[in-house]
Amino acid sequence: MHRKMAARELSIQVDGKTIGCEPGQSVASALLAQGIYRFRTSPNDHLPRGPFCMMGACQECAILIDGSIRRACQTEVAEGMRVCLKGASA
Amino acid sequence: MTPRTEIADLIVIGAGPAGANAALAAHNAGLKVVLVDEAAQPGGQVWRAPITAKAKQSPVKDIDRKMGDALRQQLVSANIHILTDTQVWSADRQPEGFEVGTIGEAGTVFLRAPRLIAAPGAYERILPFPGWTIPGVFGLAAATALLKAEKTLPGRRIIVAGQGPLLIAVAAQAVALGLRPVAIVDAASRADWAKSLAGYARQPRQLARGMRWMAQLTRARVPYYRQHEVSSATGADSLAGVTLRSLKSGETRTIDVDTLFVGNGLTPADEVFRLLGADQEPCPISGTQRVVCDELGRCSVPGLYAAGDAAGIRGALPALHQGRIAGLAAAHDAGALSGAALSAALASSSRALTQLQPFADASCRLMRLSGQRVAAAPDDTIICRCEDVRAGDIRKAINQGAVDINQLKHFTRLGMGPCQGRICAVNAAEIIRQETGAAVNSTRLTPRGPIRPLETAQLIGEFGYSDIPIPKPAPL
Ligand SMILES: Cc1cc2nc3c(=O)[nH]c(=O)nc-3n(C[C@H](O)[C@H](O)[C@H](O)COP(=O)(O)OP(=O)(O)OC[C@H]3O[C@@H](n4cnc5c(N)ncnc54)[C@H](O)[C@@H]3O)c2cc1C
Ligand code: FES
Repeated sequence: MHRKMAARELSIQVDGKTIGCEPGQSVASALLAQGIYRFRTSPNDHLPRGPFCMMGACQECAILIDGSIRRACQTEVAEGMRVCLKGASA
Repeated sequence: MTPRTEIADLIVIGAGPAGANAALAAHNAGLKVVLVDEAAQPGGQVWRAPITAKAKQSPVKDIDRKMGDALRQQLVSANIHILTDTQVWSADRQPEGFEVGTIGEAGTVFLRAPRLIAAPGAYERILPFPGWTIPGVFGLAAATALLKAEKTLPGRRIIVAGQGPLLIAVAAQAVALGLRPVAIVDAASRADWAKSLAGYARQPRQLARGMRWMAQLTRARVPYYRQHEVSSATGADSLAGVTLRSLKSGETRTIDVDTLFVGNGLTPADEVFRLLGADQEPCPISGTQRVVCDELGRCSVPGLYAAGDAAGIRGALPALHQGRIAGLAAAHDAGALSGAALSAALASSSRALTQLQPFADASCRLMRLSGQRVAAAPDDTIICRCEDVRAGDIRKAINQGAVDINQLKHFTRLGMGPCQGRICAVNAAEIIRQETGAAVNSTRLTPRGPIRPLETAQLIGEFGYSDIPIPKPAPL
């Protein structure tokens, strides 16, 4: 939901923009809470994609996190984490 | 750097109700057990631990939360050796036993043991429709994962769709969060639910919870479309609208929403069994395949056991007992438990399984996805999300002579993306089956490791030049 969360105790960088998130949140859920649904594009038809299974199976949420491609739904946020949605379309 | 190796009497993959109870039973019987799970905490899908403060603070009324907390406590008290945040990416059987490749915080670790219990659970099935790849479309099980771990759901205007008990669970919990769904879209009819009630009546606590959920939905006046399915979704960068279709009349209507949760049942996670070459059989419940095992969970590969949803979808409580049974069987087969002690220990779980079967059957009947519905996907529906292979591409390949799924893979690249066919293979198999009448056996992709995508750097770990072995020069 897009409502404000009580405590935003951590912040991460998404394409250089700072967003607040809760400790324990997954990167996927932190972005979804900001209304960011589109994470990447599919490599063949370049169609927009975002998280889908939230259990680590589909790989649709795989984006560049601190320099390596990781599943955002299985990665917990950490202070100062750098997330890159641009260029992670592979 | 040479990867670390750990040796045990028994490896257990998956710390859900099945795997965790298997590990506990075998450990209590005296085996040296190593339990592996890719999640941060044990509990599996159904008993997933709360992670954020908001989720932890919510009152512990829910039975899944209680059961999960109890299980986590039991694992700690018993001092079970557990590797969390650790993915299993390979499994191999050598003459001395099994070798399981894992990767976690500690890097690559190979586990070796003469016995292996695989309890990796299930994946959600989703009936593909045009637009199901648009951001904002999520699985129904995805919603349960978010609800349990973080007590939140994305979206403002949501639809909850599909079939089976998760539909009601997710819709009611969304209402409780203040996120009233714009519609519930259920493939089942009132009569289908009525038929299931008899099975549910045997589990009064679960039935009471289901009734409470239904009452919440009625009170919130959530529009309920029975015998309907999602026929398409539209939107560019994110979801804008969802079209529903009546399964009876074919009539359609379109609703503006930003988020859709949709799920059509479960299918066993079978990568490990396929990698090890265990025999599979059609699963009458999910309509897909499951590993063949006897009543103690023993598979066709000696030393390999299956438990929980991975051995055929039955749900959380049966998984707990199947796990316990497999753990005891492994302890017995390892010589740690006499035949008499095994029979005595098995009695309570065997009885429980029999009692739980009508409940499991009732849920599974509601979740069963008919092959015809899958095979009716219009040509432009994406089936393989990773490679953007559409139903029309699959039909064209079949016309050009692809008769099984491995040929389909060569013709179209279906299943060659990072999900390795986890999402598309069951649906593509259904299209082949309906178009050609192919046998189930020819509709499974040949397994290939690694079963989880890996970065080479992760696999190799840190190393210096001194780690590179210098071969002895060949004699001139
Ligand atoms: C996403 C999802 C949500 C669900 N939610 C509910 C629910 O809310 N209520 C309900 O009644 N049922 C739910 N189910 C059904 C559920 O499958 C069963 O009820 C129950 O969890 C089965 O227990 P299990 O022990 O067989 O498997 P699971 O509970 O699924 O446990 C399997 C465990 O294995 C681990 N695992 C799998 N593969 C690997 C690997 N390669 N490496 C390392 N670890 C691995 C997983 O992380 C998981 O913890 C859900 C299913 C799914 C797929
Ligand atoms: S959303 Fe499917 S792997 Fe993350």
